[in-house]
Amino acid sequence: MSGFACVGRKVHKIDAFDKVTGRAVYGHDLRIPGMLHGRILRSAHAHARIAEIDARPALGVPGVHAVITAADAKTGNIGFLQDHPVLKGDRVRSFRDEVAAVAASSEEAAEEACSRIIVKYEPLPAVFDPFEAMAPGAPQLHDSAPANIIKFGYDFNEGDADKALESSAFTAEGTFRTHYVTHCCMETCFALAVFGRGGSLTFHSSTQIPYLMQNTLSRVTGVPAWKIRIRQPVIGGAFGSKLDVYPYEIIAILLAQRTGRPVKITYTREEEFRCTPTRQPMVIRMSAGCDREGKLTARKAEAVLDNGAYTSWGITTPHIMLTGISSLYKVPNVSFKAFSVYTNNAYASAFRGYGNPQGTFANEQLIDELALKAGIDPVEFRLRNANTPGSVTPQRFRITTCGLSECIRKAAERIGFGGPKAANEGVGIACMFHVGGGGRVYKSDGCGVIAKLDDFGRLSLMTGATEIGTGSDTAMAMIGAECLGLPLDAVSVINDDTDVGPWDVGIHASRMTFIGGNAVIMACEDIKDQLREHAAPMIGSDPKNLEFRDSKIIDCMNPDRNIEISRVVRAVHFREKGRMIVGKGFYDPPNEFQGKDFRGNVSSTYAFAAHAVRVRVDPSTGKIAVLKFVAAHDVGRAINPLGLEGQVHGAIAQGLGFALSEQLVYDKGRLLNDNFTDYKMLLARDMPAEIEIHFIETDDPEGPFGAKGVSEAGIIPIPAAVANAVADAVGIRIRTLPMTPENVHSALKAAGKAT
Amino acid sequence: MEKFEYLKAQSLREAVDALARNRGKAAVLAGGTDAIPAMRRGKSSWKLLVDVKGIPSLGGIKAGSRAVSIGSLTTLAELASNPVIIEKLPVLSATALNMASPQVRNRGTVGGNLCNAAPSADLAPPLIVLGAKVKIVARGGERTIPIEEFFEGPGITAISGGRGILASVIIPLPKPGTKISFKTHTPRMAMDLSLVSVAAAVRRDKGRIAEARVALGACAPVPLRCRDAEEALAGTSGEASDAERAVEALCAAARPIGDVRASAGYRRDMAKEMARRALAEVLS
Amino acid sequence: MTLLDFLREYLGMTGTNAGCRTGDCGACTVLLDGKSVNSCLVLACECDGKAVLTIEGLSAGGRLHPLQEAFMDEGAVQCGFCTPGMIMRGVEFLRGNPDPSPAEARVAIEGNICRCTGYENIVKAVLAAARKMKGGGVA
Ligand SMILES: Cc1cc2nc3c(=O)[nH]c(=O)nc-3n(C[C@H](O)[C@H](O)[C@H](O)COP(=O)(O)OP(=O)(O)OC[C@H]3O[C@@H](n4cnc5c(N)ncnc54)[C@H](O)[C@@H]3O)c2cc1C
Ligand code: FES
Ligand code: FES
Repeated sequence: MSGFACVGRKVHKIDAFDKVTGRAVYGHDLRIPGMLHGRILRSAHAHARIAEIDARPALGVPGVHAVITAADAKTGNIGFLQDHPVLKGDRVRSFRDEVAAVAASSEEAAEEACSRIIVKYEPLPAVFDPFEAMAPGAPQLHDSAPANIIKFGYDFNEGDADKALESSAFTAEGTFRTHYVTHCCMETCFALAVFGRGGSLTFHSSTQIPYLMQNTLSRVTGVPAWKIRIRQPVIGGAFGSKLDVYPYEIIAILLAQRTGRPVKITYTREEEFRCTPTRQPMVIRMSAGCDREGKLTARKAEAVLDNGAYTSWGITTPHIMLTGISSLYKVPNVSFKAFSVYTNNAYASAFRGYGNPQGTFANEQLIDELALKAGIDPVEFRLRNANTPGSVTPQRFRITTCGLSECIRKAAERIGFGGPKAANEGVGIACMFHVGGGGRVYKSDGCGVIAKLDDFGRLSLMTGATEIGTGSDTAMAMIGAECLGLPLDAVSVINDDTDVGPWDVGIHASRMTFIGGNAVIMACEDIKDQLREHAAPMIGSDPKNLEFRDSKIIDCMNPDRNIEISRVVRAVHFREKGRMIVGKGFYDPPNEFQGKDFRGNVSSTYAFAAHAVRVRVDPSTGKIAVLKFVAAHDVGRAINPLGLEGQVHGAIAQGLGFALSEQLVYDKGRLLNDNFTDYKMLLARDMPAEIEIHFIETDDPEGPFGAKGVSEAGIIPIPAAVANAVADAVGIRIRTLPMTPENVHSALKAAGKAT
Repeated sequence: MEKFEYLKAQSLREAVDALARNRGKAAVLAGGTDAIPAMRRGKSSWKLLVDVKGIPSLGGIKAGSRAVSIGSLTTLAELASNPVIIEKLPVLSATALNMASPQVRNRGTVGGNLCNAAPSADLAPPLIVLGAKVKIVARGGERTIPIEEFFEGPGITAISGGRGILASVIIPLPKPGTKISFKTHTPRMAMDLSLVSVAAAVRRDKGRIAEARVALGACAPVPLRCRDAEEALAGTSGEASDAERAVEALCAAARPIGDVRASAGYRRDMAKEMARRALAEVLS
Repeated sequence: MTLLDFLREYLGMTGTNAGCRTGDCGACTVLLDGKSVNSCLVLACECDGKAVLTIEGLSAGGRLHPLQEAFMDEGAVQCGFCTPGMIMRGVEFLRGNPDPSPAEARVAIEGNICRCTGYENIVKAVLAAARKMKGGGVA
């Protein structure tokens, strides 16, 4: 294809060997001599005052080294708005709340000790629905939030959406509801805290944000940030769940401090379900209008988010939801309001797609409804409104490369839009817009890389860019190999240690390949400059003519003049006044931090996609069978096609699970399905038999070798695409997720269409 | 998991005695696919587990001229792949193949599925309509009872609490002219417990229905044989209206609960739908 | 003590992963006397006198099993947590069915959850390994 030696080729992931041989060391596998096991006692109520905690009986359990409660472990609060006490002293606000913790020589002893702690509660009235929580007289969760409305809302207006809707030829509106789902990383959470020399803390964690974590751990525990080192073992899944710091992590540190021993906390699967955060359920009221030609005139959305009892980074998800609403299609008038409400439910966090799947569920169904009203084919309708290169959106996003129209055409053609279909069969399409060139949600969107080239021609990339299974470190290694003309096996990525790798803001916003890749290029360019300078006199060439290929430096004008890269390194190194070959790169993309007006080019490029599905609905059971799935993605360039495909396949499984079967079921705040039997992720047999993935390469000028970020994109359009297909199949519009057989059956019954 | 003793029984007698001596505190360990997670979750805490997998007489599938005997230790995987079962009782091999996962099928046993007595146990409804009997060995001796009498409540059987061991399931070979169907409703394709299940067996003789059996799973505290539905069919020519009467009778007998997996209403609707499908198949 | 805990905690063989400890995820799959089982559902004491094969033992002799190769070739590994269990399940499956169809390969891994890959490349890897094994004659 592109004339690249490594980029764009199918390669083994650099971590695959360890993973297929069982040698990869996950957090679960870490063990340190003298290590104790920590366990946490959680609340017995959704909302209660804690009258008294008697932890003494726990100390009587053999093997117990420490028991802590809020009374003897003073820390700062965590949470995006610092509303979350680590150990709850006077009040619990949800069942997952941490009341006490134990460190013991075995898991069993720690568990037994927890069960002996006596807590006296005075139950308080609790509220589990955001609308009830806003009603007068509802129990108040936090003093800072009257009527439980969190003072962190979103209000964006461009043009006059109300007026535009009034004068639109066609309008459509609806209320859309999304539900509780959770990340289900296959490795449950763990934390291992080890204190060492001079009170320094080594914290082993599967966090996605090692450097921000240093900062938070320091603020909350009082250990100076410069004494905190984060180490990351191989991470068994993240999907956004590890963008926050959690109480259990602080608790591990407190227990380690208290006992003077390393302390590890590992969640059971049940605990993982009950205590890790969720995707935020939303109620989205949306309307949209278009003119006679089917050009969008306006979009208006109001979203209420069930926040749960404490805030996380997830409270900023409307940020990304808004981007899809304002910038997927060309629409001149936009009004968007969103806010989060405290309830006594489990609290929500970041989750792949970051609010965008919820927003798109509404967004893209309304497009179908509008198209129907306007009498325009839904595919044609989308094409008429699709964003195009060179446009500037209402949020002032500058669209550079944009393959949306190609994606739509590809998906529609491959699913057979407008073609024949059997009874109860239908096709649906939905598109998505997402940040693809980083996302400046924090002051820095940067990533640093130190590249060391050694005497044997091995390139070590030291970076803070975390690998969570997405293959970003493989992409970075490929880029390094490509830049220096080295074999992939000669490149390693060392990204598990804040003492070694330079800063990175964290793996989020699908940014790692894009940002980290660019940082690698910068570091490698630095090395190349150094090597050119030294190699040129050695082979009698002009430095400008030197190329890097096949582990050699080659004069492109006279290829006979060439030299092994490692020979140059050795020559520079082993001599008087020797030097080392080390390159530095720090890439902070040319994107903008948005102000309070939610305007500014938040990402340096944007990703687009269209998904189309063919479904068959069984009207007598409500079961939806997904017969075929087509995903077309504007990826800029496929650096690692295998890895990219895997990202999209995985997103399809998660997205279909979100749409069809996954749901956390709560009864008054208590989780009823804390296991994989009753929390129904799709299994291999439930996946569509036919899946097609198409990459549209738009060669982004800012992306490393033209690439954009895509790892979240794949999940975003799925619920909407399925709902559109169901409407096509049986003529009912499902505005509430999930589309389980039971829910679809009851919708069919309500419409008199069940058989 | 709480601490417990483990006994690898060498003979049926040793196992029966050990259970009897520790009545209420001991349980049989077969494949462990129900028992071990239950202990881990603290749902049951046994002081003694009597592993019966070393007792040869509990294993094996034997075909006679009029009946097939399935040893209680027969794994779900063996049931699914055994040539005799595939030939003579295909409903059982198909059912076993649809249960759980390959790994669980490699361990889980027929006896365990029945003795665990989940209302949703997938082997129960087809065995009921096949007219199966279970052979029980207890201290007082051996006895054989119809399988529907074996279930007494959710998780409770005629031998719960160590009052005996299920030795085998004896299944009369279906008479010529018999059609059998088993329909389950699960949200996923695999690894799902049945929300409802309906088994039906019908034997025609000269066009008339000479014998009918219908059973319902996951719709009552125990897998249910539904005699009203059977009577609605018996003697008729099996027209659509007869089937509908049987479906009505079956729905009247269903007492599903609402839980995290489904509402009672949806279970009821699905019981009706599965009953229709099963009867349509056996009456065709 | 379960076989899973025995392997991981007692023997320090951490290649076999624990995803649920209730038989639902398949991450802990090992071969017991040649049959794939959830090691979280087996007691260690039940394995007296039996052969246990884990992911660590699969590449004994320094040579990767064709399934291990295929998982790398086909991009079937992301976070990798499900991988050892998937591979061990695949080993038993291919012994019994050396020439599977895609649908059969899907059914074969119905008891193994993967949150990352959507299974597609795993199915491809199982099929690719089958082809390789037929050609190369590896047991
Ligand atoms: C992931 C998973 C999926 C599953 N899916 C299904 C499914 O789809 N359908 C379904 O029906 N079941 C399912 N099950 C449940 C279970 O696997 C089956 O019920 C299995 O057949 C149980 O057999 P076992 O030998 O493992 O029982 P064990 O766990 O060994 O025993 C279960 C109970 O029966 C008692 N017992 C066992 N054998 C005897 C005996 N011979 N005499 C007296 N008492 C005895 C034990 O003391 C125990 O109380 C599933 C389980 C898991 C873990
Ligand atoms: S850990 Fe054994 S099946 Fe999940
Ligand atoms: S690769 Fe992550 S669970 Fe399968």
